[in-house]
Amino acid sequence: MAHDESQSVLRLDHVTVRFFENKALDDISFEVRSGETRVIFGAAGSGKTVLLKTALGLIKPDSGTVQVFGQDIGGMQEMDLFRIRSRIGVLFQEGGLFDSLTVEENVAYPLENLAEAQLPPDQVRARAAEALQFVELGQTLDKFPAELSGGMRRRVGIARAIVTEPPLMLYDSPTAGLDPITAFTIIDLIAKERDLKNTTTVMATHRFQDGHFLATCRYNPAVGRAEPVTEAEENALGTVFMVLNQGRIAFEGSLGEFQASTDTYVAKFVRHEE
Amino acid sequence: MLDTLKSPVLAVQDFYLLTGRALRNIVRPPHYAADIYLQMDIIGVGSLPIVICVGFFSGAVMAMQMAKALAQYGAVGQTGQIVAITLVRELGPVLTSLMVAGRTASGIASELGSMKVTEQIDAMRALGTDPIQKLVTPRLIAACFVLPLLTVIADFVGIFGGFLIAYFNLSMTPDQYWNTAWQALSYTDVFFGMLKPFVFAFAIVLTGCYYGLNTTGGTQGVGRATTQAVVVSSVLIFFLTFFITRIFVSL
Repeated sequence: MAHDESQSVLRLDHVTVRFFENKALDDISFEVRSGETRVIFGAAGSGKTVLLKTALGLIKPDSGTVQVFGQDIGGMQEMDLFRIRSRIGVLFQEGGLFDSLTVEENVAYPLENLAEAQLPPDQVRARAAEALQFVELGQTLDKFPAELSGGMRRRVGIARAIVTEPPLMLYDSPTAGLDPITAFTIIDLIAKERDLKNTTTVMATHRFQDGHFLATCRYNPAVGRAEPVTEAEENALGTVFMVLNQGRIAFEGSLGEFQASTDTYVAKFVRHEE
Repeated sequence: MLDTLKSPVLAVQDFYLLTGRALRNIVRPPHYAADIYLQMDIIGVGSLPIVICVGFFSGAVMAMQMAKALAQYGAVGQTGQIVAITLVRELGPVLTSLMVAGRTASGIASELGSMKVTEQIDAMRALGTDPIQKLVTPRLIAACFVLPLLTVIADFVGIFGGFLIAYFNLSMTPDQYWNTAWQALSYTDVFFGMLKPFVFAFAIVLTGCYYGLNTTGGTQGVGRATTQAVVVSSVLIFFLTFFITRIFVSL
């Protein structure tokens, strides 16, 4: 799927979100263009999750505008937002899997409920199985989320997010609480989804190596895993790094600029490289 | 001062918004019929044993207490009348609703609260489902339907409990008991006796859903929401029964 690189997929203009007196997001402005990978760093409580939920229209900003695929979602009713959300895949920090549904039913859920993504009933199972195969969990169809490990639940969450083949993917701390090997598997899957389907990717994390991997590796279908790319290819990947501090953007730039940053807060996220 | 008032005012506003959206969804598609039947089973059939138990013993205790009081006036024969009126007008609806509030409001608050803290509610919205349409409205419809039925069952079992006491302890004949019980009841008693649980069903379900959907603070928050749901819905039941009875006695 070819992308128009100049097309704005997600744009926030002076967005402020308040919870009573606290500003969770404070005058945030940035733009994500089609095909771009944006990695958002920040400490716990810095506003990463609120930012992603605001982009999804789950949280309404107190001021500012949020545009998704060129449409202002600020004044939209929930029913209109469903149409926009059908083009966004999201992996929640807690997974967000429905614990009363099986893995297959979880993955099939958007195909049965998102009006814009609905499939004929006879095609739903096949598509769900295909998405689970993509995350290498084809054998877990009849299991319930509680029967899976944390990493497997995260992979099911990815399968559910990609099953509608959305052009924009939002990942909220996809590796939080996972061991390094499982975390690598998850990031590898995110790279696989991004590179095989040219998906615009926004990922919130606090692990430098997650962002570094996405910026410096590209999925190679021939070998079945992501591999390091040359510097020229790395520039072509165009990964943007962003750091949030107490709801404000503390840094925005390339991997090189991120690593070279002398800001004390920003540097904390770089130094944690393993 | 204004800051102190802000939080409860916002809570009342959110509660009314939830109520409005839940009611609007009754006539708005999609309708989740399977969820309504499931909730009828959970709320109705699930509450049946405890409702029968409470109804029976409240009727039996009422008969014993009333018989002792009525004996002072030589009116033990009116026991059936007193038991029937008390149960149908007040005790049946209130005790049944309190039992259902204990079971259902806590169940709803903990279920929805757990879904909230594990981001299942957000996931639902992200995946094209209105959580109020899917989770609140089916519970509301189911409770409004089954709670009056449970009350009727509790009333009958209670009057039957009173009959067993009247027959075995007070040596009343079945005709004497059932005739006074039956004749004591008017259509207004039965109407208000059915109206109350219908109104209480709103209080129970909407309170449970409100606290569940507004849960914050992880598993501790779920516990807090569950407790609040039971306490507030129980208080609301007494508050509402006072006003409905006020209307009833002024007729």
